[in-house]
Amino acid sequence: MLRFVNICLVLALVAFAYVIYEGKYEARALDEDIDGLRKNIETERDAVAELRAEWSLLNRPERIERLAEKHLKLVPARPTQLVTLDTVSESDFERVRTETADESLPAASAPPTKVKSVAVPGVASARAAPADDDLPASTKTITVKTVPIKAGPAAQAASTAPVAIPPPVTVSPPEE
Amino acid sequence: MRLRLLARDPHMSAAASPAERAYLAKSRHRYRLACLAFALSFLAIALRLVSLGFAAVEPAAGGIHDISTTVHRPDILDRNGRLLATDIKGATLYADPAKVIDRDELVEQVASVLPDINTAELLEKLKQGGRFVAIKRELTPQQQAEIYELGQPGLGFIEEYRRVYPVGATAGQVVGYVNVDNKGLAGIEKFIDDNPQLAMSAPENAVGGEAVTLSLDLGVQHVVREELVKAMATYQAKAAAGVVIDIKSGEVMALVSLPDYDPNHREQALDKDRLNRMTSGVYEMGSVFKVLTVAGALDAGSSSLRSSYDASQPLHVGKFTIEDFHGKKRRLTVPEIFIYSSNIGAAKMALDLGIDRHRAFLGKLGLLSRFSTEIGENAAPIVPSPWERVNTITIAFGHGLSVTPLQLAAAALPVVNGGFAVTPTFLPRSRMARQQSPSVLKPATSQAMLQLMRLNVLKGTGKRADAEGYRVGGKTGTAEKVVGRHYEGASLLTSFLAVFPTDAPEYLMLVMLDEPKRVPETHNEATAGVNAAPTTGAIIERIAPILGVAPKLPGDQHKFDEKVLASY
Repeated sequence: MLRFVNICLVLALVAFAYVIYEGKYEARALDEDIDGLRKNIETERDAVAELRAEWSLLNRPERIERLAEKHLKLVPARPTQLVTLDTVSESDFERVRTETADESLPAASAPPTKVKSVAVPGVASARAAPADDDLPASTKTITVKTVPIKAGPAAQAASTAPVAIPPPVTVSPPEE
Repeated sequence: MRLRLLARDPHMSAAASPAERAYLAKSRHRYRLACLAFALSFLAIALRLVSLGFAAVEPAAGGIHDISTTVHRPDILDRNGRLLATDIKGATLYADPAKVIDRDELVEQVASVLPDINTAELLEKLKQGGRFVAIKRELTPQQQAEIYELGQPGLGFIEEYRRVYPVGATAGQVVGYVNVDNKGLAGIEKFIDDNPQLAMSAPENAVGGEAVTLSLDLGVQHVVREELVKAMATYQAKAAAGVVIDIKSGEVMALVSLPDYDPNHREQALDKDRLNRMTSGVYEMGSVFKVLTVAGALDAGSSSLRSSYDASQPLHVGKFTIEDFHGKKRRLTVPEIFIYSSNIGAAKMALDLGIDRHRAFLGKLGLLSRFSTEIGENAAPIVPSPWERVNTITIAFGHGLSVTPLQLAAAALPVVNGGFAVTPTFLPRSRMARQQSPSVLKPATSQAMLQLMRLNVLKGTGKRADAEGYRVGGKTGTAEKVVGRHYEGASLLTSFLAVFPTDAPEYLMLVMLDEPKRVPETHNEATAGVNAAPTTGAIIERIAPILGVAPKLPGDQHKFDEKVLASY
């Protein structure tokens, strides 16, 4: 009996020793990992510091200014180019609206606006389709029904466009 | 023998004699004592093993000697978080003569990687012995790797922080510089060393390091510097300086003094000509002082905007004769005195105010004592002593009292901000600071001065300072410099004190040019109106959009024209 207990204890001792050593080595390996990671973090941090210095070196105002002058065809905004909503009266809008309306009448033959070029063919084909084609009645109704639905938002945009966005693109100065 | 007896004790006990039994009983105690001793010593060994197991294992150091000797400094950022100064790591190569085996070979091999070192000198130093000979600082990582590959015993590296200033000279005068051991020697760098709590309380930067944020705006700083560089070249001035201050908070948005230095090349900073003229040079600033004279007279009530003074005759004081540069030879009202910059008129206003009150007023604005900011103590003003009638007369138009330009700008703050003596600062501060500052002028005086300054730009000597849409107000100042013991008509110090926008003032600006020449661009004139004023105008035109000052033009000039339409 005593012998059995002793054997059990010895076995338990060996087992515990194994577990403890295993745990210890694992912990040591983790410690080394931590040290490695710490070192990596340190290296990365140094690299980040270096990159930040380089970033601000490349972003210093004098360099950006030089590059802008070289590559951009822009100049600083003049005070006259800044207009806030409360400095512009309704009559200004009205004036612009009528001016652009006047100018767009003789320029009707000129290529239409981007917005119109999307909307106009859609609407035109919707109207043209039932007249020109000799298709069955069912197909006709489908084309008539579908096309306006598709053209809907575009046509809306076309109708509101001259009001909200005066199309300066189309207005080629006629006198020059 | 005894142990064997003891071991057989249970079987032998019956056969033992009484004497033996007594002996055995005694032995049993000894036996237990021995067991206890063994148990204790094994326990001690076990505990020691456990404690050794818990002890942290120091990672073996790599071949490279890695000790940081220099201090890590916080980053310096501008008000928008742009980097003005930071630390990066660099290695220093050194040799330990005690460990060197072959000196000549070592020197030869090191020279193959670093061709620019002085081999003879290095060899000499190695011969002298000792334990440390620095060979080269701030190695590149590649050089470091190559040296390491040499495998020479006796060589080592020290890792050190190195300060870099990405924007270079642009903010150099404010940021300052450090010495080779990363200690702050000037400007904000020195201030950080003197106030370590500054970096600790500051929020961390992107990589978890400490950072100190300044009130400077790098964009504004750049524009001011660039325009001053241009002005210096155009007007062939010896030096130029400029400062932009938020009048409500006292925050310095930009401070430039040319010629300046690149803090990355600290040896430049030792050049005397590159001192910070804004804080370290004292000057007789000339007519810009009339802003203070008129403000003092209006505030005390000794003059009003409707008062008038006879400026037809030169003013004689002892051996001096005071004359007007833009002489009108007639009676001038206070606004006329201001916009035509009449010396006679200003002198008479100061006399009306009274000698003592004049001096007390300037003292209240802080012009008579040494003034200091985060970037260091300013040079002390040169105050006349005793202060007599003639001093009040000359100081009324800016001669006879030498102050630093920054001090003058600080003194002018209450004149334009409603009367509050806000002190300039290089650290961020709330605009509420104005409310906590002592009031030294009546708000009405400040209002009147703003009108006068605007009038001067619209109709007077400051016309060329008007930046379209930004309602600039200001005062010119042209002072003759003292050369030797006399005022020298040819060497001038011109300045312009501006405030914008005058209808809701936000920023104060002072521009100063040292000895601008008469050049064709200025129709062979050299007064402030033709050099300092247009420089100020050019700067304001560019910085106002950065500072968020909205332009305002007379109603009809706001055109809803093609250009505006195109931007919709």
